[in-house]
Amino acid sequence: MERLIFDRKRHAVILNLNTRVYKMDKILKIAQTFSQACNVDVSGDVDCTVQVTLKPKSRNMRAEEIGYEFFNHVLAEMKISEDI
Amino acid sequence: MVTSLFDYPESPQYAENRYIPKKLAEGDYLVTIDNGAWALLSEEEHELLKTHRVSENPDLFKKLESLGIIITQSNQAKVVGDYQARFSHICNGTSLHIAAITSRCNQRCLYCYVNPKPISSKGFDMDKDTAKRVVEFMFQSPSKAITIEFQGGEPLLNFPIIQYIIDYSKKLNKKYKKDIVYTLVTNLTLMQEDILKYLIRNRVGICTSLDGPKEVHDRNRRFLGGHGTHDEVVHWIQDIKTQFAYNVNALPVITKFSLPYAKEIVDEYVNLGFNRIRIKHMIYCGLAKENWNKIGYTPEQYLKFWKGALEYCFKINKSGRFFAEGTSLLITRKFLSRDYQAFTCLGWPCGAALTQTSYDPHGDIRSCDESRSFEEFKIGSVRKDSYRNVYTSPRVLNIVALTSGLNSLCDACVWHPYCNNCIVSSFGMEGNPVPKLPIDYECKIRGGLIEHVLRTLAYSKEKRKILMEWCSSKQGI
Amino acid sequence: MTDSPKNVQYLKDRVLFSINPKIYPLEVVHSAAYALIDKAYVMLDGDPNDEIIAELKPKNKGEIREVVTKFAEELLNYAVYYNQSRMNKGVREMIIGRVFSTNIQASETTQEKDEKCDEIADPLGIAKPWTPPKKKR
Repeated sequence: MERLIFDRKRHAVILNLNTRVYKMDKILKIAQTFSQACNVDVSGDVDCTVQVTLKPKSRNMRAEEIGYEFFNHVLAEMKISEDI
Repeated sequence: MVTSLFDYPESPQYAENRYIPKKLAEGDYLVTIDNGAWALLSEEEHELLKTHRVSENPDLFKKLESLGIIITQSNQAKVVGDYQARFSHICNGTSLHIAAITSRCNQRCLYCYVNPKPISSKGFDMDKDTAKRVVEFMFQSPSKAITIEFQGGEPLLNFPIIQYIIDYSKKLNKKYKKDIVYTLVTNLTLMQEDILKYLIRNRVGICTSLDGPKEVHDRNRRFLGGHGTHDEVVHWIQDIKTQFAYNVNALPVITKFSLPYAKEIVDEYVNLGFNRIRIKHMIYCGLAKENWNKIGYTPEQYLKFWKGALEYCFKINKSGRFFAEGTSLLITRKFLSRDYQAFTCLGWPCGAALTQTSYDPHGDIRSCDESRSFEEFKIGSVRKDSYRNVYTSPRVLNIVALTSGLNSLCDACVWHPYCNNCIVSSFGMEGNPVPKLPIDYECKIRGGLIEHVLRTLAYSKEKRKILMEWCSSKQGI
Repeated sequence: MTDSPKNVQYLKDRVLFSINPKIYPLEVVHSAAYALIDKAYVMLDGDPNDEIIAELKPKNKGEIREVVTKFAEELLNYAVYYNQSRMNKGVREMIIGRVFSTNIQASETTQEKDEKCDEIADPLGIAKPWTPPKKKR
């Protein structure tokens, strides 16, 4: 399964996050953070793979890049909470 | 019938302390333990230790027992005492408090770890309210002795606050009765006679940077306008020492420009009447990081320089003049003494967020002075945090855990008792406070310094004598 | 590390790492990946009990090999880190506990009454911000 799918038509990006590797509560926390700049939709199987769809509110923002940043943010959030 | 089991080989007469061995040379094995005790063993002796047969050699047994490398019924209390002495710094609270009272500076030295602001900048001086809070924070430390060190930028640019901090700390100390020492780290170019008299009257120790003769110093340390500062610095050093008969310390920071001038740099200090030089390498942070392409060097290049300078110091001593090299002196003390040697670096856990702390002009608290280069090492603020909250916080305790070296292969290194990893340097180089030891710049330098001192102590009778004279000297070094 | 180890697959603008979780458990992979997020976008996938996949897309084109080398270094670094941490947990906790118990004894915040701090004795008249040019001796 592709981890990041760029939907050019809708100017959106669909992320597939494996919940065995990424913690669900961190995904939701970062999704909330991103909701300021994007329309966010979270769906899927909490025990397996969760789909996060990000559609930037502004056409100036690059959806694909935002998608990649989302992955990094979730990783950072997990690390920071582990260290503290 | 069994008449005695006293000699029974399996009977544990001793337990081995956790030791790390290293083959120093053919037939020579160094073993060290966590508290810094060490022994140089022959091949046979090492074999006996390795195979748990120390009892077969009574002299070896006695030696290792006295050092705590093996633990017996009779030496347990001594071993515990040795550990307490070596790690006393984790029981005392923060003693060195560095007040960076301004970020402004009239110089822009190539390796400055602060991001200095021009003199005309506004909003970069510590104000009275912040200074008051900083002093009150300092006095919350459980340490019975505190050193208040003024740094900058150039601290003389905010001299009224130096005076305020000294006055207020003396006022508070009537209640707290700590032993207070004041020191000032200054580039000396803004010194005036009135200020100097004030500092002398209040017994403020003065420390400056002198990177060597003019051709070296002026390449590293310049006024904002671009011209060198050597003449002004030397003028004030001579004035302070001779006209005012007051002590001033100096140390050189070594850059790439310094590398061909080991002898000349030492001579500069000798000629100015110093009795020691503590040669300092750059940490990879601040402007040093920005300018590394111009001024940086490899650990090997630095060690070659340092060994050359040390060798020259030995030569000076052999000619009858006392002159010590400070880094080797500190390391020698660690090899010769069971006690903790008060110095932030070169010891585990290091002093960051433990024995030393630093306050920036706005009252932010950092783990050590060099960590001011990075926001990541902010541990609190005097404006909203108490000492207790800061120094029992997960962030500080994590820093202490990191610098203990127990999370990395520092723990498996024979030099660990005399060393520590520098999380500021690792962060500067790799963006990560967890060091990658095989390629860690700081590890290679420190390991190299320590090994060289140990080899000198072990293999050169003449130089060992000089090193030990430096350690026992009363010449105030 | 060889140029193309079997567990590394180079794609056009990214690289896929296949990681054995028995050698590098998930916590190690998290830490190693975190260490790279300034240089690359990192996406993790797979089964923490079987095989972890790390997809790395360098932020700067042309840095793909550097990212691969760094990631491999960080995996090893953190594997050692976590092993050592586990081995020395007891000693570390003892040290931290001792530091904690020292610092918990710290005094409460000193609240001195408002001293007349503005009136500092200044017989030499030197308590003023430095502004005039330095006088030559």
